[in-house]
Amino acid sequence: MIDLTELEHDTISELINIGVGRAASSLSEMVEQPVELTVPRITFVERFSDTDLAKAPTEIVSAVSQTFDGPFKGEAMLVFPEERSLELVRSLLKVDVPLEALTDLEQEALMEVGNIILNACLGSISNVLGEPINCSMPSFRKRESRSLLDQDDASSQTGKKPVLMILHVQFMLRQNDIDGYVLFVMDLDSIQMLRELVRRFLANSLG
Amino acid sequence: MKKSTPSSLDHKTLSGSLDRSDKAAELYAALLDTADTGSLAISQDGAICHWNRWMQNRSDLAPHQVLGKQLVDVFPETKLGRVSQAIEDCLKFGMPAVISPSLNQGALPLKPLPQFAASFDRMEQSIRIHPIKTSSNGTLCSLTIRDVTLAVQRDRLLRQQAAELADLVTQTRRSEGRTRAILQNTIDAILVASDDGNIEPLNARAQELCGSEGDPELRNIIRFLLPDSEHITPSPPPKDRLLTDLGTGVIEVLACTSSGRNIPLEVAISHFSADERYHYIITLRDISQRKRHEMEIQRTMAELERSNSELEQFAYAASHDLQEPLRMVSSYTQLIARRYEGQLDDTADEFIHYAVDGTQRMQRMIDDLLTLSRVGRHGKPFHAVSLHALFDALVTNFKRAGSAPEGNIIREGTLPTITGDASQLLLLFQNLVSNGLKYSDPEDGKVRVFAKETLNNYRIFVADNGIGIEEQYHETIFEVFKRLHGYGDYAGTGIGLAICKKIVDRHGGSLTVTSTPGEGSTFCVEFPKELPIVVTQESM
Repeated sequence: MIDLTELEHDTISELINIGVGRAASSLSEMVEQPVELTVPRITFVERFSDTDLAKAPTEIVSAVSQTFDGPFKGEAMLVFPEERSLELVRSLLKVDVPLEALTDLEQEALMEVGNIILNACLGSISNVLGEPINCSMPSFRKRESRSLLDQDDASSQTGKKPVLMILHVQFMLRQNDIDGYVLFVMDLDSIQMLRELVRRFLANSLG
Repeated sequence: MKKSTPSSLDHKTLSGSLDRSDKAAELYAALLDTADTGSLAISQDGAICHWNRWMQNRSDLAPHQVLGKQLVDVFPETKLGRVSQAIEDCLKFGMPAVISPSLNQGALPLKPLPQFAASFDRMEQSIRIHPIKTSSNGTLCSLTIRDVTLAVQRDRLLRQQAAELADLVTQTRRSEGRTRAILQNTIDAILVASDDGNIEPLNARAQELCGSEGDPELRNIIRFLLPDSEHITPSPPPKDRLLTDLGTGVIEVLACTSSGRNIPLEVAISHFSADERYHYIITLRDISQRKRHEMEIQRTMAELERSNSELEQFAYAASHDLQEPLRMVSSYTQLIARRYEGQLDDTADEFIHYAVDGTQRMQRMIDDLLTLSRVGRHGKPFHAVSLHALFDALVTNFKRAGSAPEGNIIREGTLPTITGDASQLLLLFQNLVSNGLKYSDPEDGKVRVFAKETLNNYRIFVADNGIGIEEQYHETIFEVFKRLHGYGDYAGTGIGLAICKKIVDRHGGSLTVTSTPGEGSTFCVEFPKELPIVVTQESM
């Protein structure tokens, strides 16, 4: 199980918040309207079924996913219930007449939003911990939330149980709050590596 | 690519491998130049180190103009923008990036294809930024640029059409709501029938009349009233349910609701075609109120007619029966006058003269009263009557009677032909003309007759240059026995104008007078061009 001290937990939160803050200012500039992003809560769970998302297993969710590789590896995802993702994109693009589903262009815009947030989070961690991380191009998924973590290619299932770091993300724009989640899906080795790096960082900076 | 250590290789291998890598580089460059996407690479220091032909074509910048330069020097507007930021992140942290056209319109200043130039200043671009690890452990940044202008154009069109559709739906809903409200709140019941005999109530009132609470027979009656269709031959409804004869233009039917109320309805049928089929709109108007009024009027009319005819009967009988004893008195007083005149004293002669004169006057009054009652009772059917011919006969009559000097009846302009009872019209104008002459200077009395035509009426004027009538008497002169002057001044029974009035009434017209005392009077008879139904129907 993941046993983080309060200080370690706070440090990770801080790293994430730095990244998210940077993403928010990039987005604000791009859409020429104030976009605020907050992370009210970061939790670590062992099973996807323990997450808020799993409470509505048949709800369709949109996800932007990027895999990362480095001292710790896994998959980072920005996840919204489909309706929220429509709201978000349309608020950002100032669309007045919504169509029923995301168009190709709206989907690409959502991918860019995901890319900016995930890059910012990963970049912030990588930068502060001094460890380079390789990221993949973002990809887009739309499926029921219960099969969100299913791999597209069955061969890559290693049987290792993933651990999830879940950030509850709130977007505030145009008097409209939109809730989403950022998921970091890692195996136990990776999460321990992350903790190790955090400890080392704390030791250096406090020591 | 593995790191090669040139020192360990002999010259031949080296040159061979260089040769191969040259060829490979050439091939890759050619491949990249033929690609239908933009491809450029930026080295660790931010300098552009690759610029394919696509980039050259769309930016109008040849490789030698850009290679080795910073992107912000080539495109100054990218400074501090999303692209620069993404490139920096890529070079520093190895982060890939997606740059979408929706969030970054025309991220790089590239030309659109000519077909889009009208609506797009710039090419819409979808950009991918990739870190590339080089063999020397550095990081390059590669930009792949796709032209998505067509997709953006399609998206815009889609949105525009969606907005139009949404507008249309809103408008349609609004107008539909309005139409429905109007339909629902119309007092008349409105139904629509298609040519297959299906009848659908359109509003609440129609539902009420044709629904379960209404009249089950009503639909059949409506079907019977509609023009024949091939599919159905409706059976005629009970006779007492049709209130009017078909073919009169007005259709009135009786609805008997299950609550036991009988409602007379006026039916109006119009049609339209839709979906290549004929539809009828049936409007049912509740005419209970009107029917009640009609009944009331009919009752009053009958009452009036009865009392009128009673009165005429009485007048006729009275005057007729009075004639017999009067003739007796008249003949014997005349006999006395003839036989004993001059044989008694002067006073007796005077008395006899008064008695004879009195009986003669009474005889004339009774004659006139009989004429008056005959106007109503013994009218003849109406024909076209030429007023010219009528006045010819009138002038001849006057001449024969010697009651008027030559040329004192003057006709001005043309006179119309009107519809009426010829002998009554003759009587009418004879009375008016002789009246005019009577109240004029016997030597210089003149009566002018002329006509005017208005939209709905003919007006015939009979004007004299006589003594005239004070305005206060203009109404009363048409009443029976009304005389303005003593018997000694002007002869007459006081019935002449009453007869005129009655004749004009029977012709649906009006009789009025205008006058300036001392200058003359003008009587105006107005005849309607089209006779009102009541006049023709009454045979009086």
